[in-house]
Amino acid sequence: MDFIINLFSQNPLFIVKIFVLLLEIIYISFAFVLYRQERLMATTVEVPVASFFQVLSLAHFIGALFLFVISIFIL
Amino acid sequence: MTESVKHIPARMFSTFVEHPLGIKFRGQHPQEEILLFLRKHWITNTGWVLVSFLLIIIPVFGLPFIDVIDLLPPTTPFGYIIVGFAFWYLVTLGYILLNFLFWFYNVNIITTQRIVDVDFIYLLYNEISSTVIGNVEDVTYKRAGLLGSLFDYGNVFVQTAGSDPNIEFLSVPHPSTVSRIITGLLQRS
Repeated sequence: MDFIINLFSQNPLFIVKIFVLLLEIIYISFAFVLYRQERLMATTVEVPVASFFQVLSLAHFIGALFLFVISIFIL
Repeated sequence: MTESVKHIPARMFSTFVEHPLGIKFRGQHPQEEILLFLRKHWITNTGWVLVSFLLIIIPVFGLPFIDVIDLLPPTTPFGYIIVGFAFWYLVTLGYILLNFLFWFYNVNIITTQRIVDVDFIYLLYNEISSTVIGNVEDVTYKRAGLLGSLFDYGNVFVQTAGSDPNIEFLSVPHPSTVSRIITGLLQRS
């Protein structure tokens, strides 16, 4: 317990970092659900440009993962 | 006598396509041909497009004011600002993608055999309602409001017999034409 209190008192930004990382984990979940949703939509209605949206939603999900990893190192 | 029909390739932002090329839907029968493919009129996207535009420009124009009004403590590490910006634009992309996909894939289809309404209401929840042409009892349309009259869009209500669900096409372009096409199919059946 003392260790945690010391950690926060010596580096108050640490709690901000934890909060930001938690927020990013929630966002990664949303990005994954959005990717799955796009797949579900594309199988329900087949349209010629569906692959473009698949790439875009996958890029969005990978972007969220990438930002999480980057945040661990630069925050 | 065979009727020659001109098939039109559906473009990305098409909202009203007769005899579309390259479009299929789950559960479509081999002999079933799509006569009309509909999405909500593009003007219905104005709200989220404006919000997206604001989300994109706020950081660009807001950055100089962060120093002026001392929004952030002077000791804020640069890494937090970078991550903040990246996260802001990632969320903006997610917002745009979510809204666009819901508009793009919420479609109404009239085929030679059925009327189909594909609705994605929440994430990972979809509802596909359909009724055979023979079960249609009544078709009405309503073009309400200034925008509806100006841009010629409105709602089409298809009342069905028996246990088939009633079908609503909401904010579709040219509702009178849609209603006329369904009525024509009904008379032929």
